[in-house]
Amino acid sequence: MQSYSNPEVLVSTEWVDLHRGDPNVVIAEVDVDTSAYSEGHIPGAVGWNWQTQLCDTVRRDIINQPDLERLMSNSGIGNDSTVVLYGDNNNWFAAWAFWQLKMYSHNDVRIMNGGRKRWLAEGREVTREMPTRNKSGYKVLKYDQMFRAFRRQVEDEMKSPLTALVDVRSGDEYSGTLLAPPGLPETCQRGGHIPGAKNIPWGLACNEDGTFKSPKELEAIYAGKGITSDKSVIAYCRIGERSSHTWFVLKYLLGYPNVRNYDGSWTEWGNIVAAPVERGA
Amino acid sequence: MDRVGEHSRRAGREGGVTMLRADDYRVVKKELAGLQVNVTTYKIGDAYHCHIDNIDPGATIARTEALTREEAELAALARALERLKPKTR
Repeated sequence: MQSYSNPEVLVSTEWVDLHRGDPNVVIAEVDVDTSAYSEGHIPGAVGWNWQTQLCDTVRRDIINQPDLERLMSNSGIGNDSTVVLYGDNNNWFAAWAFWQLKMYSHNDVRIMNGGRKRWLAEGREVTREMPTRNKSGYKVLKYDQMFRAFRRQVEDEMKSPLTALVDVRSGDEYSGTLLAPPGLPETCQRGGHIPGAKNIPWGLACNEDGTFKSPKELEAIYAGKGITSDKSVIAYCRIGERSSHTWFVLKYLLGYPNVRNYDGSWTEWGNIVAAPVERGA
Repeated sequence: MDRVGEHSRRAGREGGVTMLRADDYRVVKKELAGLQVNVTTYKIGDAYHCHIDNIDPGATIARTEALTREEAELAALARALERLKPKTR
């Protein structure tokens, strides 16, 4: 059976259950629904709030270096720690955290395949008690934005045959029928997508139980729409979180060499005066 | 989705930490306000939890807690209906 290009970044629920007591393994839960952690979480797991702890809370940006160092240190994560991320909605925001940790060059970051859904469904132990961890004095060794695309880069590259844009939102958001997923705030003035972008909703990468589809299935999904490894791929969604999930799939599971996440995404593009927009499927 | 596996350890205390588990885990697909949703329920400790997500893209739109599954589901469905008002332009 064909394996993922970087199988070490994915761990099973069984692996996490076996290693959750290891001193060098730190588990962090990152949920879309920030109240899920307090309902019950993997024993020993810290909880990170994407709305307050994984972003710059003043300007629109990812978490800054001092805050990241503080978060890692307070979580008991050392530079050599193995960080295992998991969360609800098929690891949607776990992937967002993974993307940021990789830009801050943390070496050993992994995602628990199936996320919170699978852990609960398997009846594994959870607790409501918060872990206590010693501060680590974490220091970022290198910050590199090579996995990130900014608006200017998208504008410059969107017409290049060497670049492939992938819009991972739902079909209705892509076509412009909806400005945001039902139940979430509308954050743009116009609906539609960046011209030339292919629509491959992020959730297509997952099985019903929350685990990732097989390499062969993933390859068929992306290559089938022209998102191939020979291209420079830029993924985007509404605010950059769903696309970090697709970025993870393309970069680590399929091993595409050049993949970036445009975290400005539709919330930025759909508000730019005179930006080119396409509508329809 | 039914429970996909059984874990051998029992809920209890481990290293001074109270261990629980999600019992009666169940996911049911429904149509709500014209949208496909997952209604997920399970029991942790004494409380039933219900959360509803829109299958595409999967954002949680309601989360409730109650003493019974039925109460948790009813409250979540009511909250989700209130929130799921399609916005089109």
